[in-house]
Amino acid sequence: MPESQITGDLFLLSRETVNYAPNQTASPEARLVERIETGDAEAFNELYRRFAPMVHGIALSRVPRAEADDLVQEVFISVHKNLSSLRDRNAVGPWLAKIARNRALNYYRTVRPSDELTDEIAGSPSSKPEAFEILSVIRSMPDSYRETLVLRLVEGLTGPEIAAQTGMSVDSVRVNLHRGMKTLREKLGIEVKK
Amino acid sequence: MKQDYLWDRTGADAEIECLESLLGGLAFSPAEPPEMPVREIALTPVRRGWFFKLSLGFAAASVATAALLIAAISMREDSQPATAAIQERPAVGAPAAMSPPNNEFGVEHQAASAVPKRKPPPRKRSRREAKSLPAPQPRPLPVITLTAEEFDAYRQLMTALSVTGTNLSIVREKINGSEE
Repeated sequence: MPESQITGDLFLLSRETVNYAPNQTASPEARLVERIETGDAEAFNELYRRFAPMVHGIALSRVPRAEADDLVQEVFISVHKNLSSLRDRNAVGPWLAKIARNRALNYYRTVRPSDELTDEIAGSPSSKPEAFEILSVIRSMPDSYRETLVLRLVEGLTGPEIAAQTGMSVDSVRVNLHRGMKTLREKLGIEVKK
Repeated sequence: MKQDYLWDRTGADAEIECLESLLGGLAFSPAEPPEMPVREIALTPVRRGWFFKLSLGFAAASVATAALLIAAISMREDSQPATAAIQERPAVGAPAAMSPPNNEFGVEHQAASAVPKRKPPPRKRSRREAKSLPAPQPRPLPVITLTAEEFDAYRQLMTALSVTGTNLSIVREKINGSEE
């Protein structure tokens, strides 16, 4: 068999591989996005149920609690409007996390200091005052620690779930959790001693 | 085991469990998801110039006139069957057979009973016969005999159609010119 023919066959094989690869590796989230694009409201609800706790955790680690609920709604409305700008459909979670972080930043750019409610005023009656104190301690920590700790301790996500939904690596989440927890213990221990 | 509980909730850690129970009250409470916003498509009206509208109106009026004329002719044919018959006969090669025009428009009247009968289909010829025959002559064009009124209506219809065609070509040239 001549060499050119072999090269041509290899080229055809590689082209077929490229064509069939995306269908085989489409994640459930990517299929959800495809359904949402066709106007499937149930798919949108499913996306909301799956990712709303993660978005809420990211918001709560940055803005007051009353604003966090509104921010979750804003993020999902924004998601629906800008779904066409999502480049990688397998990375819906990281995209949502990024939008939530940007929205939280915008909140502090637009809000006036006199408008801000404290967590205790805005909190639900079932929440204990100690919870807001611990939350304020967590918020005083670096971004990477506070986001991971809120997702773990408030929203109840496990380390692997946090990694899968936010797009962070498993090792990063593990390190952030352990170092963040160590810092939180130290800070709470100092407060207890006082 | 403590580290495992923090990571994936395996084992037990009283301190973390206490924190979870305290902070769990601030967790996301499943609410109704936001309504999917309806995508609005803004339809902006296309603005046309006054010349385009005028030309379009004129062309439409011309087409309507032509349609009315056609309708009038057909109605007249229905109401006067005896004088609206059409006779076909060869125009080339048989001038003597034509009857002289009997009015100022040069058209002929013909009775309804003079409708030509259909000819039987020609029988098939063999190849030898076909070769021996001379080459077929082009079939002469048929002459349609009209009454004076029909001829007048026909002339008006042709005039209207030519005016319409001229107007449409003017409009097309203007549109092409404005696009360029």
